[in-house]
Amino acid sequence: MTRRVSNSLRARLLLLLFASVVLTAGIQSFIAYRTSLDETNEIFDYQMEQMALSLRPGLNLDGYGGSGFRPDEDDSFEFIVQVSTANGKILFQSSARTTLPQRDSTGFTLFDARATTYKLYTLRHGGQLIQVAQDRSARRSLARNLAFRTTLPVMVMVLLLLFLVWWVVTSSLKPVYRVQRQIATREADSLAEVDTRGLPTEVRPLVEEINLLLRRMRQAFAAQKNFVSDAAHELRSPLAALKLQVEQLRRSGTERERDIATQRLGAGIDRATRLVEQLLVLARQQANPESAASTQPIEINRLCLLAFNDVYPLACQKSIDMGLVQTDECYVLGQEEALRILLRNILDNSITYSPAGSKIDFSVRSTARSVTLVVEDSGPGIPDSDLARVMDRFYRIPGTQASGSGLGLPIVKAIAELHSAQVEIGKSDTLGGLCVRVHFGAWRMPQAAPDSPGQAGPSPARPAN
Amino acid sequence: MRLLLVEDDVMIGESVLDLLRDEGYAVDWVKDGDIALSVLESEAYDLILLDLGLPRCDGLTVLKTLRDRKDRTPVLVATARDAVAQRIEGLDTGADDYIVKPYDLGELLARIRSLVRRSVGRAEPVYESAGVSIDPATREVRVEGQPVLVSAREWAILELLLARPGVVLSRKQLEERLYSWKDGVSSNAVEVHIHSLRKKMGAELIQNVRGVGYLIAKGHA
Repeated sequence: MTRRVSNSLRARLLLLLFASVVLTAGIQSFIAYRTSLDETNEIFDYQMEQMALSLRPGLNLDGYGGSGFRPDEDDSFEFIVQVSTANGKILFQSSARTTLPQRDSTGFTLFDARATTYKLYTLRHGGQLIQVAQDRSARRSLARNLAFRTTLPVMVMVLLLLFLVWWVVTSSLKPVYRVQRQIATREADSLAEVDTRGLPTEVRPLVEEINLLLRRMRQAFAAQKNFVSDAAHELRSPLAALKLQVEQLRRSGTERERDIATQRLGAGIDRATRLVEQLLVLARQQANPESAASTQPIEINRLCLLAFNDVYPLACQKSIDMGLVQTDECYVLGQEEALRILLRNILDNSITYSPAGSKIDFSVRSTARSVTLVVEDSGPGIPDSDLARVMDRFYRIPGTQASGSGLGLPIVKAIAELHSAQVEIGKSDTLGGLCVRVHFGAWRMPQAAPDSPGQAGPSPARPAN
Repeated sequence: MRLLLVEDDVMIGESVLDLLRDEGYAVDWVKDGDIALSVLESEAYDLILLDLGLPRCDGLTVLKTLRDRKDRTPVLVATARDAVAQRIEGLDTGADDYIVKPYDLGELLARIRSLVRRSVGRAEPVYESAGVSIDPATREVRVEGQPVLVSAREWAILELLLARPGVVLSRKQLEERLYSWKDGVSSNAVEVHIHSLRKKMGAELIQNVRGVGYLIAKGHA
């Protein structure tokens, strides 16, 4: 519970603000009380003084004509007034029971009488001693009452202030609670964005980040869903073929039938194997966007040679004339293994879809800022209507006889995206078939910064991943 | 029985084609939806084996167009797309049955038999009339309870005639149902097979309606 209070912004704000308000109001009341108490005392003193002064001329010293009025004994006057002569003869006394001590000292003194304490003011004027006394406890309680009344408005204000604090804090945090409710009550698998309207600037960036994350997850889920639906089809077809091919082998009676069936089964297994491999390559490339850590400058020509050797046997099988036309010396930043797969897939694509005896030209062109890999072939090319879709997973051009996995160009695209490179597919001007261009940003050796951190020069290639 | 195989996957297509031909079906194979539709406009089939993921014109469109033309040929959809929603869509568009790849060949053949049986208005798996019974599942032919061996073509003729006993089928109709495009039909091929069947099973079994065609009588002999 304590933990929850200390972690809740609202509870903390309310607690601290309430405490501050109460503390401030307490101090203010105390000061007001003290001040008004002091002031009341002063006023009372002043009154006694004034009373004594006003009695100065009022008594005839020679005549003894008293009024004859004797106040009742049990009258408890708060004030007692007494006038006496210098030799102690009392000329006037307001209270019958209490005789004030005739003191020599003038000014304010205290004396006890009638089980209480009186404050006494003594004034000597001519031959007379004028004395005014006041019950101190009555005087005190009067003063306290007065002082207390001055603190009352503060108390009322405190209550008002506490309510205002509560209202301001609660209403300011309302949007935050709304977001909380919105998230808490949503469906478990809902990836809908959270409403940011009315959110305070302090919280909005947080919610916006969460929304961004949700959007990315939504896209990932959508891609995954598409993929699963496509993959269901693409994975089952080779399996269906295998199953039928095995059945055919089982039923084959003659040597010739068995040969055909075995050959078909072999082709079916090759196709399934290739599909699985390509799927794994694609999954690995797409699952590795953080592999920027393993990027390094790569010498493109060396890479081309590697990729070339990978596919050369295939080209020979179909007697395709494949060659390097232009090889500019250049580097790009990237992962060696991934780029090799990219190149191999472009070449493979051209070999698979070009008829026997075709020609494939391969070139590396570099400028100060960019490196472009170009693969052209004399095959059938890709119709304009299909250009937009050939990068989609499992898309195959209608009517294509060659059995590709439908993943070659998507792999090229995924790797290119990983390297911030652009893939351009079009018609080859020189050979008439397909032309695939991949544009990379060129990497230059840092000239003036020999000790720059990270990639300092084409160091011996580390194994990628 | 003549089947149309609509399948764009070359490996699957060539295997299914061979396996169905081994079973005695006359099979034609087309690789895209447009061609399938134009073929179906001019030729009659006993059953269509249709893949859904086809280039140019997908399987569902083929199916819909076919049914819009009031073509009642049984359609067996064979596809790798297995989501329930897709199966429902396929059946509701007019498919008679649905089989998911990879399928078992035995199951495919059984479903084909069942669809053909239903399409001629039968429920019983064994065709019987005029003392002859044939079992499409086991390919057994019995005359008065005695097994008789027949060739694949002879079997096919018996099956066609026994599927609708009492109905006359012309020589041309028989030829159409018996031969695929790859088989060259010699002018008197049907007569040769019928002659051979009469020899094996009795001359009265298959009756000739002069100038019209052939039939097997309905009911008991």
